[in-house]
Amino acid sequence: MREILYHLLPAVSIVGAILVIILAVSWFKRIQKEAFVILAVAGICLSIWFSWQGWLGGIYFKDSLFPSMVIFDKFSLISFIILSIASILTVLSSYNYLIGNNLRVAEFLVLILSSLFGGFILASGTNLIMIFIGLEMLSLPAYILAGYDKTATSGEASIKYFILGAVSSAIFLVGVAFYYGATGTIGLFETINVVNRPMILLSMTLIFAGFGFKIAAVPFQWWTPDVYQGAPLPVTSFFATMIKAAAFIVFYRLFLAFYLFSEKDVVTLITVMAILTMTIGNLTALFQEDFKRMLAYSSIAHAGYMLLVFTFAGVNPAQAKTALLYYLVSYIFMTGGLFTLLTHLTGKGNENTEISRFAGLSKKNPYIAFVAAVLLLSLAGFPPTSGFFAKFYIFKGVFEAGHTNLVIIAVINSLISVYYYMRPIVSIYFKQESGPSFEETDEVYYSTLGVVTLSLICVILLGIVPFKILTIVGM
Amino acid sequence: MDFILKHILTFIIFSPLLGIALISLVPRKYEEGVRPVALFSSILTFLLVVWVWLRFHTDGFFQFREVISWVPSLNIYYHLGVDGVSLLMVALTSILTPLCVAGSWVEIKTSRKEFYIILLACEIGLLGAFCALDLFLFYVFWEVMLIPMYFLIGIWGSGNRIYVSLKFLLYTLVGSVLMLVGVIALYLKSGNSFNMLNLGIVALPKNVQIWLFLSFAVAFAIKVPMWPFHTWLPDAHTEAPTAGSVLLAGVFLKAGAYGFYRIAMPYFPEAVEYFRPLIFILATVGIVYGALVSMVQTDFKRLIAYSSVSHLGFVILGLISLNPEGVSGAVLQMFNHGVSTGALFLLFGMLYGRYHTREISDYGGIARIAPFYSGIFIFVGISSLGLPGLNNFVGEMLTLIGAFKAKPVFAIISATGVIFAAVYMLWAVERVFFGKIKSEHVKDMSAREFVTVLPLIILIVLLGVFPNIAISRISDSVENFILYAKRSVIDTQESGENVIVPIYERKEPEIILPEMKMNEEVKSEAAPGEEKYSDPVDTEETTDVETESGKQNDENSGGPTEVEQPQTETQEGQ
Repeated sequence: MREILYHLLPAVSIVGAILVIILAVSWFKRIQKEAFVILAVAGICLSIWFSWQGWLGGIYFKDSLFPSMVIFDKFSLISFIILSIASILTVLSSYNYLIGNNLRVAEFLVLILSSLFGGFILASGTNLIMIFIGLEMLSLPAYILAGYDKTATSGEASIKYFILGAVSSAIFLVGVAFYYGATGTIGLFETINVVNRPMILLSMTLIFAGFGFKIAAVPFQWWTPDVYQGAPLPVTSFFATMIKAAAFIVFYRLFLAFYLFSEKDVVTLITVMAILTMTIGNLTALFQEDFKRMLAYSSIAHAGYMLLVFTFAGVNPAQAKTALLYYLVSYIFMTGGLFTLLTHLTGKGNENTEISRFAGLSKKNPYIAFVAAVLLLSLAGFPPTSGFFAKFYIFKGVFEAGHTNLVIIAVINSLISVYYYMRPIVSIYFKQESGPSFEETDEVYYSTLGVVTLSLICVILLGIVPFKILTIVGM
Repeated sequence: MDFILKHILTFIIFSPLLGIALISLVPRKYEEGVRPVALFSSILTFLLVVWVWLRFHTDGFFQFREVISWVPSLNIYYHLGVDGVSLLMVALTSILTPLCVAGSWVEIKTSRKEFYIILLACEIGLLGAFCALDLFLFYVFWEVMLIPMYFLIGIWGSGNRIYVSLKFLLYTLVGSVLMLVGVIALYLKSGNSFNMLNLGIVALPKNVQIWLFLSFAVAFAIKVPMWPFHTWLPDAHTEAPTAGSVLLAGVFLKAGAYGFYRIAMPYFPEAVEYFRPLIFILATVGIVYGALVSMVQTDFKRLIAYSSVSHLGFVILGLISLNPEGVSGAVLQMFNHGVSTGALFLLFGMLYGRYHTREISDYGGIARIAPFYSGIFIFVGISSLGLPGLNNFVGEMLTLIGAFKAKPVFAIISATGVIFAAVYMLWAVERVFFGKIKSEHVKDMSAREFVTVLPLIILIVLLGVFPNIAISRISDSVENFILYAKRSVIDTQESGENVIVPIYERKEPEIILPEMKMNEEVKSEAAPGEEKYSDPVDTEETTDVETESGKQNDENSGGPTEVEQPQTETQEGQ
């Protein structure tokens, strides 16, 4: 029993942090708000540490207490770490925003942590019911978070996200039902004797559609721009990084499970999805005037690149796993860093994030301008940043699997993306200040500045010395 | 010290980082102080390069090599090394950068800190691309040089800078992303290796070669730029600040030609054979077109830009000639064009700083206002049009000799480019420097300005009189290049007869690769009905066939040893 608890520690420490924060906020009325942030970060860090110990120890939690429900193998543990890092970025970047807008800190953190816990269940679930529970754990706090601002747009985002999320959950559930009907079990990777092929295909399509909503893959991407724009900035960052990462991680498991049944159909389905997602994401992003909307479409496009991983995941799962996780880490720092940077710039309340507002930033705040440029160039895939290496690794894998045309489509897409990633840079560096721009404040937001710096360092370091992280992620 | 000596190339490539670090420490109040720092840093790089130049053995393969594992799982190495041609390009970069710093001394008045940081970052990318011996590393540096130049044009450019910088970026990127596909494909097809010393030794199947060659060649052709991919160049040159123009014309374009020299042509010999006529045509069209368009330009910087298209056409013409004269001429021309055109842009920058106009018609009679300046400008202009005794003449002459040996027709057409060069350059000089005085009186060249161009003038004379200082260092590298790139190309024999009556059409290209040959032999043994080589007695062409088959035998026996030779040298080098 003790051993089981020990293995569960990564998840337990998150639950512990949730409980401590809830208790603290109701017991001590006059507690400093920083304390909650410190508690939340401490809980997540503890979880990272335990995950890391478990990863090093290599003893897996499996089959003992909940047979074939969850598995804490190296993949799950490294996913926990990735999800935790994404959450830490959000927690740190949210503090100033919440204080500035007079929003409650403790509740926000509890919601973030609950969602993270849901992410853990998703990442470790090997049973469709477990995955469904994880999905709901992940999504329900996210619906509340989208409307946390209590403004009209935020409320609209919340409702939109909720309705579409509910629909996607329902679709997912129907898929699970078909899966059960076809195979007589709801566990993944179990030996199945009777396979009803059409039904398993239907189930696969429905389940992928359900997750297509979460990762914002075309044609399920419609909610993304509105929700990303309407939700409070730190929450948008959370959606774009943590939730997307969690969805991709479980997508990888589901994919491998379905690959056993019908390799050809799965790959075709994913290929079409990937091409559409990249192309539509990139083409639509070209015409965005708002930075948040542009990042929303860019995140759709990046989902497309990540979907490419699944075109060779069946042939070469180890490499696909490495490519996907490396891309996720790099993407989390790039996108999370940019959203945090935006939080840093907008400060209190000022939610207008048009690209033209960046004009003259290089004069007013050279450091932030530099970070923004590096992160945008990394998103566009220029070496020596991590964005380039992540793309290179995926393209290499796709090429190896023999999909040359797909690689060409992907590189053309990344060429298109350069145009819109350059627009903020043009605004920052090439244009003089004219019209409204980001206000200057005397306050220095150290937490957001810290996150931004961390993102910058990680993006460059991951690009220059990628091998350590590749080995860790690939095991 | 020993550490530095062992990693001298790393120190050269990243020595601008020292300047960047120091510059970023200078407070904005004392922004003018960044100029000496940048100058010091770039001169330090130059001195390191001089040290390498002096220690360089003329009889060697790649020298000063450094191999460190970078990404072991993908077999990517941090692998550097220089041979004669890379060294020449490194030298060119390190000579032009301090001059760029000096040339922007008073021209750049806003955000000097950023300007010099970006200039030095650009140098890192260029030096790295010329030293890289790992294809992945090469690609990384290839992209690294791009972004600083984009900022250089976009921030400090004039006029339509935002449009032009984006055009430059997107144009170049179209090539780079396709090259990335090529890099990945080449990596996978050649046994997961990025090692540029071993890539291309084992020739790939022909259709693969053709596609890979296209993916690389388009990237390099855009950078060179070959006609018809040149349209970004005049815009970028015109709007860029002086330092940007100098670096662009001086070194950036050479990176494209260097890519042809190092990667595209030696790795894919059959594709070279396949595309050779096309490349000849494009190079010739580029030479003539560039020269003709230069003639009608009203903007002086545009004129120099189009003249670059013409001069770089010579470089490609020389490379594709695939004989020692042509290739050495092309490499020399790469260096010489950098020196001459760099000097022209620097000099015109000085004039522009005084009058703020680029229109040729706005000038007139400068020779009477600023005689000293005019003398130097005309001297450099004459070197650019290829006056014997000055640098460009040697390169162009060798290139044309090489081209004449390979394909006389193209050489003859290209030679008109030299004449047109004289026309546009002298005409422009006449309109600007002689005639009625149209411009107000300004100061003649200052001592600082003279010192800025002095090194280039010395080089112009030196390379014109003693081209051997460069040729002796590149000859081994050139031989090696021809050995690889010419594997599938058989040119007409270099005897007098053939020059008079050139045989430049061949029905069946001969493939001299040993494995291919063996396959064919096996085939012919299996199917005795198709005995091509043993029974060629059909018509009167008997003598021809005999000579050809004799040649084949020669090559067949010589082939394997020739191909293996670099390998052994590599091992010795290690």
